[in-house]
Amino acid sequence: MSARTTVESFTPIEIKITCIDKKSVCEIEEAAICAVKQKLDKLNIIFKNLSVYCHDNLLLINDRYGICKDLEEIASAFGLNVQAVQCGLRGKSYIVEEPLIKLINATNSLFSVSNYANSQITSELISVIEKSKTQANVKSDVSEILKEIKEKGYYSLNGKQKVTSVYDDAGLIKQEFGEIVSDEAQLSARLKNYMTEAKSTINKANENLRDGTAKLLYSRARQMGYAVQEERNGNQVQLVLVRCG
Amino acid sequence: MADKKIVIQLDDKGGIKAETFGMVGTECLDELDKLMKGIALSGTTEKKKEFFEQETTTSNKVVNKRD
Repeated sequence: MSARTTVESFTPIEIKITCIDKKSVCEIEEAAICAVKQKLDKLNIIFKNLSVYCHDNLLLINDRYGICKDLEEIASAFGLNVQAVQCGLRGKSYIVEEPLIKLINATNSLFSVSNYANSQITSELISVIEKSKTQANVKSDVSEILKEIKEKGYYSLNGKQKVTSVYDDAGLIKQEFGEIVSDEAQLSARLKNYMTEAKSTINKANENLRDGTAKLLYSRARQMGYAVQEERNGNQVQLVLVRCG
Repeated sequence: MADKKIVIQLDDKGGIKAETFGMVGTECLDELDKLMKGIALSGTTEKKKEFFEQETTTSNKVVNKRD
């Protein structure tokens, strides 16, 4: 007569996250960088006449002589968060924050907009910028996963799989692999959520680019003496400029 | 003198299309250059028939041929 013994154990296994790949992470980053550069290149038309300071990817713009009264309106149309601040400088000052930068920094911590600055920042201005920070970054654990996917092409996490082994006097006679216990489902849901939000932000960036450019043209046309009428038709914005001959 | 008119259309793919009315010769290109400088980075131009018309001017000077 032989005795049967059943042993239940958990064996460690490696689980690859497949819901998001390197290509999509890189595409989101490239699209966001491209949109930020296009927006800031266009805004630079007005920034170059003003004092621009940069700290931690936030821009502090000082319009000492009041030469750009439309700054707030134009920057907002480009989808930037604009906040008027008192910082001890003469004239009006604003902190300009680009929401796309948090998306970029989630996968590329080296990206910077400091090349748009034309003035040397001081410790007083740094403290003003620090106090005005409102934007929450992408959660650091999600950011680390995205960076690893970008670097290695995949992300893997550790899980445990239930193994049921049946032994008799002769040794192992049956082994069954059961359920896997891991954080995969929870992590995949968070990454999918990140991708959905990122895509929606990128799509909005295209609309912001159109609206900001329209506002910039509106402002310039007014300076050139045109009466301007703005009309919206679906995805298009139409400006009708008229000037008496 | 006719009014100068420019119609600009912007789409959400980054495209900008502009058409001028009431401008002759190179005036339309000069005006669009001023307006788009630094905003539209590259583009193509399609010249309308007004581009090839010369602006006509009249002189108020009267010359008496008998003198």
